[in-house]
Amino acid sequence: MKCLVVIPAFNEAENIASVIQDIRRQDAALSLLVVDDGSQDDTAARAREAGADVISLPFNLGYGGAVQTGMRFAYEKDFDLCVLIDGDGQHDPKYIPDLVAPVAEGRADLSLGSRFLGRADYSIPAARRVGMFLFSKITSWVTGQHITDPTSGFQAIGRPLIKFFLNDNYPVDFPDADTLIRLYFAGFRILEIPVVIRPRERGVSMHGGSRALYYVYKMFFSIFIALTQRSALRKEGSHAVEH
Amino acid sequence: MPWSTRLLIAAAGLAVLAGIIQLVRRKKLDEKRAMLWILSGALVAVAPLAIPGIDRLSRAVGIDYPPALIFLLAFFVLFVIVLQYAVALTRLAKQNRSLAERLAILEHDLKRRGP
Repeated sequence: MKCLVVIPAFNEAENIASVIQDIRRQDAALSLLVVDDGSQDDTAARAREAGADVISLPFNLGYGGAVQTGMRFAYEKDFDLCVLIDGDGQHDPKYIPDLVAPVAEGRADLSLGSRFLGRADYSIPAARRVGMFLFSKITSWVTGQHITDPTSGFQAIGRPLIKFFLNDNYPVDFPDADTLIRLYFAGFRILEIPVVIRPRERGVSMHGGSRALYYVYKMFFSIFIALTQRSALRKEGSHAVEH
Repeated sequence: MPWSTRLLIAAAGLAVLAGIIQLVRRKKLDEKRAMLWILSGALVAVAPLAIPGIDRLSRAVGIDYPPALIFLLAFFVLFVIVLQYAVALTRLAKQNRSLAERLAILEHDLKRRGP
């Protein structure tokens, strides 16, 4: 089973080397790809020095674009699954085997690292927590499955789902509850795994407060669109699994 | 304003909304760029309900002919949408140039390496 760890990173020069070393300590044999999302600092150079394979995007595509680049690489290089882990050090690599196991054993197409089944070692702002609670409830209600942390960027994704995402099904900005609902309608299986999310070591997070309004609009509208597309998504999903 | 006219305006707004939703479903328009169009469609759809309010508001800001206020608002929304495209177009042009530069350098390096 070929597994690729994809680390999307934007201006993470201060954190990226320790993230890579952390993963290497966990499993020295893992294939590692850093997708440098048009950083203006030394992210790419630091990642190369730390021994990772690096793809540098010519300009900032945003989180979704960086992840999709990693998935395309994994798909074209015949990897069976890819693990997404943030470049800011918040995700503890010791949970990688827990995330990989259900996908590798064919029990799930996507395993999500949940800080709410596990633990978040930092305080989440109140407004953000309300949003997370609301959209996790909506996701749970639509999928009939208890989903606690739909915004988690700590994931393992199997090859059929990578194929589905690459077929214009990955959001351009950031994946969230709407993405989970879409892939549930497409027939993919989601499994949450308890993880511990650490506080950021250095630097600033990508989620700014000014985006909150757009975020709420985007979630509701995108979930509404997904609800109107159930049969088309099911067809696309079964196509991705068959081929 | 007669009810038939109000119904016509609301129907036009709803048709715009349905058209936008269909474009997003077919992946020809993304949610981000659909936002202002949805807002304008929704405004047109609910405008017939707000006619007394529009009359009062136009008098308050010194506009004698209330429909002129609607035209002004419509102009403003379209102005914001067009401006948003101008900004997006500038960004795309820059990215396109940067891609061409990088592609040219890559081709140069590949040719130097030989077949």
